Amino acid sequence: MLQLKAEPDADELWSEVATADPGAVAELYDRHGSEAYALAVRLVGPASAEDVVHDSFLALIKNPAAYDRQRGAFRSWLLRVVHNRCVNLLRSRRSAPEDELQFLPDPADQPPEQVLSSLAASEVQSALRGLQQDQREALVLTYYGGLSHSELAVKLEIPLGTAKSRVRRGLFALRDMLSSPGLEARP
Amino acid sequence: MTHAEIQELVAGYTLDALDASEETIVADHLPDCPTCTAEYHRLVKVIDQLGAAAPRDDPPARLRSRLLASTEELFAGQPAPVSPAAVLPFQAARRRAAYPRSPFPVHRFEWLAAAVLVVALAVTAANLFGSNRQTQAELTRDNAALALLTSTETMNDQLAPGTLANLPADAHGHWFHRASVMSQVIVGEFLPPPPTGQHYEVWLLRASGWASAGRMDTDATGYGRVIVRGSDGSDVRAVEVTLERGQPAQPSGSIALRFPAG
Repeated sequence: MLQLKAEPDADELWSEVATADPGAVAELYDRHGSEAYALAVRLVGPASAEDVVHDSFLALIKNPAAYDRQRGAFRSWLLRVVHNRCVNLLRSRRSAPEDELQFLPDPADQPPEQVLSSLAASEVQSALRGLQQDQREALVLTYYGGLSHSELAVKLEIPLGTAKSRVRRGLFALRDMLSSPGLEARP
Repeated sequence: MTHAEIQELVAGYTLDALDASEETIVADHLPDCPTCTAEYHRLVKVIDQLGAAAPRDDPPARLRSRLLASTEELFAGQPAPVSPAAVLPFQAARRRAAYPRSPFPVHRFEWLAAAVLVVALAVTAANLFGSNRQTQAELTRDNAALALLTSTETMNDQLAPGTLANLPADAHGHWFHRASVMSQVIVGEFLPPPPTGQHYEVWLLRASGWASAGRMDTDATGYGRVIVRGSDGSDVRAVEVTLERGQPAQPSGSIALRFPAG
């Protein structure tokens, strides 16, 4: 019987990256680059998204030991790196003097309902819609708008403690929704 | 801060929603607290699903070629990456590596850690390749600049297209700098090849006037980089990348990129 050699998983590829193999980087990008880029576009727009994804991969390549495979898949690790870098870029933009702003759209200005409608995963959409309205708004503005607790409190004109509480409760409720029968998490 | 107060911050930590001081507290707390660690891992799974649910948007083909060009350059310019565990004897650095808001340390030990890594890389390279002092200095300089590029606290000011004719629509650049870090990096991207006999020159404007920061050679993708040592950029008022002949004392050619815009 013909036996096909299994494709290396992301962890195996990452081991090759750690030995300075450019082919492994190409393979990882081909598998996960689109998802990383999509998240970055959502947060910082297409022009900056290219830089964020490029710099995220490069930073991971530069420090491969920072990725601990025991603590999650490479894909989720990469998405967290990208989100973190996008958030830092957004905060840098928001703190820039007004005359230096280049009229870049802020993802936190998009109504949460529009954000929800644009999401690619229906189960995540459904789960978010199942949240209380104030928790949904807080969670969407925080994750897809890149707002900190403090920025969220200012935007919604609510006390900081209330902002933190809404985000936390929303995230816990979302976890319960996504793990409930009929709303299985994506693999 | 009490345990209960820290536990309430874990959700914000996974969402990148905390301020810097809160983030440090959570990062330092997680390795010592199984309860919060378990909560962190449960919530990260939800965060992963939010990340993967972002609206689909295919990256341009040039992003792949740019990343691979940068990777080749990185791998060619240094030995295989060194495990931080081998060179970072800091408990806090290990903690943040294990429980990332971002997988990269962003606080107190970041630059100390980077410096140790740079020295380790330079020494390794010297041992491996029998480098002379000049080569070792080059390696140290480049890795210091790369550390600047990968820091989440670095300022990243966009260089806008200037007056140079026939600039591609996506031509742009970056000026990376950070207070008290005596290195700056100026990057140009998607620049057209300079005409024969001309080159791109980077200029910094200070109170004393314009001064060259060096020649920017570009690769096949139009990417070029100049590393400036000895200044953190706090005294720089403007940055320009111009097309020049020879070595003028101040910018005289067409402006390819500039900061601030306009």
